[in-house]
Amino acid sequence: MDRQILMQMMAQSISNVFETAFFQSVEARTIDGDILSQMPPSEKLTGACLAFSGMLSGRACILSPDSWLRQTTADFLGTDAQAITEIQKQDTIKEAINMIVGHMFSLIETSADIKLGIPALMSDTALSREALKRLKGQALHIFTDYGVVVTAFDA
Amino acid sequence: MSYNILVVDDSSSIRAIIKKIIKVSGFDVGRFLDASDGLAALSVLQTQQVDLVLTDINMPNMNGMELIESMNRAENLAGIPVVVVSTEGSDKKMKEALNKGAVGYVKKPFVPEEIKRTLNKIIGVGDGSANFDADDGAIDF
Repeated sequence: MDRQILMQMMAQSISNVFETAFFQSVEARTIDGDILSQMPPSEKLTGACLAFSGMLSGRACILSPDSWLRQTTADFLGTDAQAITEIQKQDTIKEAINMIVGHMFSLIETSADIKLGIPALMSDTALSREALKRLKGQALHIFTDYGVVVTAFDA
Repeated sequence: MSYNILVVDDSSSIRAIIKKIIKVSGFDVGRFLDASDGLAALSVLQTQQVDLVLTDINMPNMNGMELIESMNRAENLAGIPVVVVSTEGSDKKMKEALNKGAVGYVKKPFVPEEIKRTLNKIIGVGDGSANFDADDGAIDF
């Protein structure tokens, strides 16, 4: 499957998921250089990945700064941002990649035989700047109401 | 009749959102019950009175499809209606779930109205107290 088409479908999926689940309009731009170039340099990052297999195999990841994740979780749950817990933030980012990938494959081929895995948080090691520079595949910067999120897709 | 509803999802956030939607939709709910995977759901089903199950598909330990199969094999659980709420959006997966006995299928991401509409068909109309905005799916509480 053409990578360009996959990235277009991923951008479309991100737009649909963010608007429906998180009430945010977004703009997705392909990243050519450093995937962290638009991220706040001193802010804690949280990431989650989802593996998939079958007709197409690989994984997709999402990486977000803490401020985005806290506010998005608050909107998602309809509660105050200051009351949000770590577990709730982790649930939100895992659910985000789950919905993005699931929705993307439903856009590409409705009868596709692709098995989705269980979303998992990225470890501290995987979130180090050195490791993130080695993240394979194509990536998108997602410009949202609450800052920039990165998604990467390797298939 | 009030309904005891079991919500099965490995995301506590999704469980909370689904329960909130059902609550504000005005359905006559007796008790909400939770489970984070199919195995935990079976344990709840064997010990509690449950009238309706909403379940995700992709979960650790036992997925939603396996949960439906297990319920079908258990005489006391086979008649409980199951609604699938999942990111798995392919026609194939939806047909598979419905063939196994699911009575409804809601794709994630969903707007609250989709949950309400699906449950209306199964357990009757809510009281309409929730104001679902058709444009953005937001709920006015």
